[in-house]
Amino acid sequence: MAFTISINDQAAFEVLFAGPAGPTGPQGPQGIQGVPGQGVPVGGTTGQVLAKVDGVNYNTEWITPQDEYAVWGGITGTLSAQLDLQAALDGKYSTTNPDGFITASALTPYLTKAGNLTGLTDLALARDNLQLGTLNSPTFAGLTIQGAGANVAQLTSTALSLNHTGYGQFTIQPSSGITFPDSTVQTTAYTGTASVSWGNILGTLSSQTDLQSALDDKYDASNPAGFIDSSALAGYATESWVNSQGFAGVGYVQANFYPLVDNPSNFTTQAAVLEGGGTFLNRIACTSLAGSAGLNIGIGGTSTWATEPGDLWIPTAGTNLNFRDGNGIARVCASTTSGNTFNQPQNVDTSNVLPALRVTQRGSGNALLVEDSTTPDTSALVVDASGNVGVGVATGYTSTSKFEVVGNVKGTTLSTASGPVFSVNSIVAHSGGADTNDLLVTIGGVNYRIGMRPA
Amino acid sequence: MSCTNHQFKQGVTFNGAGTYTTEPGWPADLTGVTIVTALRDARNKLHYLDVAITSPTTFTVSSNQTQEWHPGTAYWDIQFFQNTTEVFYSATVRIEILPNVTPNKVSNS
Repeated sequence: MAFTISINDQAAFEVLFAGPAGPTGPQGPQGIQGVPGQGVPVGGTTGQVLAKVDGVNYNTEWITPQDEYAVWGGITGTLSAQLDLQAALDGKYSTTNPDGFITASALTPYLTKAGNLTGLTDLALARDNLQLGTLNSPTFAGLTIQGAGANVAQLTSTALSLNHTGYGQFTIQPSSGITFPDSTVQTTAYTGTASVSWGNILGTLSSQTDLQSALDDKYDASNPAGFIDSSALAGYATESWVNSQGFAGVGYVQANFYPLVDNPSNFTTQAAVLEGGGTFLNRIACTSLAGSAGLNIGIGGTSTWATEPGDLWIPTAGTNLNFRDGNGIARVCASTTSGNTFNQPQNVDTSNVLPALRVTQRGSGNALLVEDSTTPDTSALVVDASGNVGVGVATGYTSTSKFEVVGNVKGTTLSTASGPVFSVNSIVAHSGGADTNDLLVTIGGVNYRIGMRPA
Repeated sequence: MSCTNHQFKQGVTFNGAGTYTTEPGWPADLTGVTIVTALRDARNKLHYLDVAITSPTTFTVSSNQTQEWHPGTAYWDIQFFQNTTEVFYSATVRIEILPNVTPNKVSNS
């Protein structure tokens, strides 16, 4: 390796680096023997080492080396020779109490605290510090506990009172019990042996946290409404269990009782009572109780809703009991307690030996009244209560005749039994003779009058 | 070890420019190399010169204190060390310091 260098713009020259060191030369001749040295002192034992006695050249001695860590009990020598330790101990020395005993004055702060409770906050700790034993509890003839600038509790020979800046004063006195600051909550504590009755307990239920907690425990989150479900009834709602409870006779079901399953108790007679509708698979016998009907189908059905044959309904504000027959046709049931109006032809078709239609009028009204579109009709067919028949007579007709026609009578043959054929009531007065009863006969459209006198 | 002879006038500002040429077994260039150089004058007094590496292969050596260099035969070499462990010396350059006659009125300090 080399480098070239130029000094002050002179011609550059090459500078080589120093080469490696040459081989070691031959060993030289042995030198002359030197002056014998001082040597080490005689003596010494195993393990001892040579140490300087002082600063004089060659002044040495054999000593035993110390352990690396001194051990109490193994340290020999004189204590006072340990100047640092002596100084440390001297620092503990008190010239005012040379013997180092604890004086009464040193105990004064503690004895004062034990005898004066001012500033003492932990009575139990003070008791333990004084070694009074755990069975020794402090007894006070009276006690005042001070809070922030005011007495918060006082115990006297006659009362214990607790003051609270926000809630007022609570007082306990043997003569008057417990007095609360808020009279609306409670003013007198329990004073006798009588128990408190439900209904006499005032306040808010939710404020009774223990009771609220107990009630909350009854709450089932999986059944928030608290209904009794089929699993809760298992073992109880069987027929044998009901019989065992003495309910084998007539039972009563409260209103709005809806079993949740089709046959919850394995009753022999299969039946279902469901909120959304159900089917009884056997004859249903109903009987009336005092003051109520034996069966009520409710009001509000319509023909639109009642679509199945056998449906029975009464519309809202309706007057008819309706049913849907076996062909699914809506029908109106007749009423025996009030009049019915049928707006469709009614047929009586029978082969019975008894009258096909029997009308028994026990009152004073007509037994039969046939009107046209006008009602009351003045030309109706009437059978009165006595069985008299009027044709073309007014509604409400009554007569002493068995048959009366107001209007023309057309017949093919007139057959009569024995006795008078006709009874003519009309009388015609005559100036030339006695009055006659005239029989007016129309023959071929010409009227002929036949006068007759009583025979 | 070779030794070359050169002349230098006392009091003249010393400016040297060096170019490093590597060889097998030596550092490839002056990267990581520290250069220290000194001149020992005829009265065996040591004078250190200022060194600056200007590129991986060039460096400068300078001194404006050459008035203190006593006339006579002086010896100058350059020390290279790398990583503070390997030390190399250049060959010693013999420089004849020529005395100056005219007093220097320019203060160097």
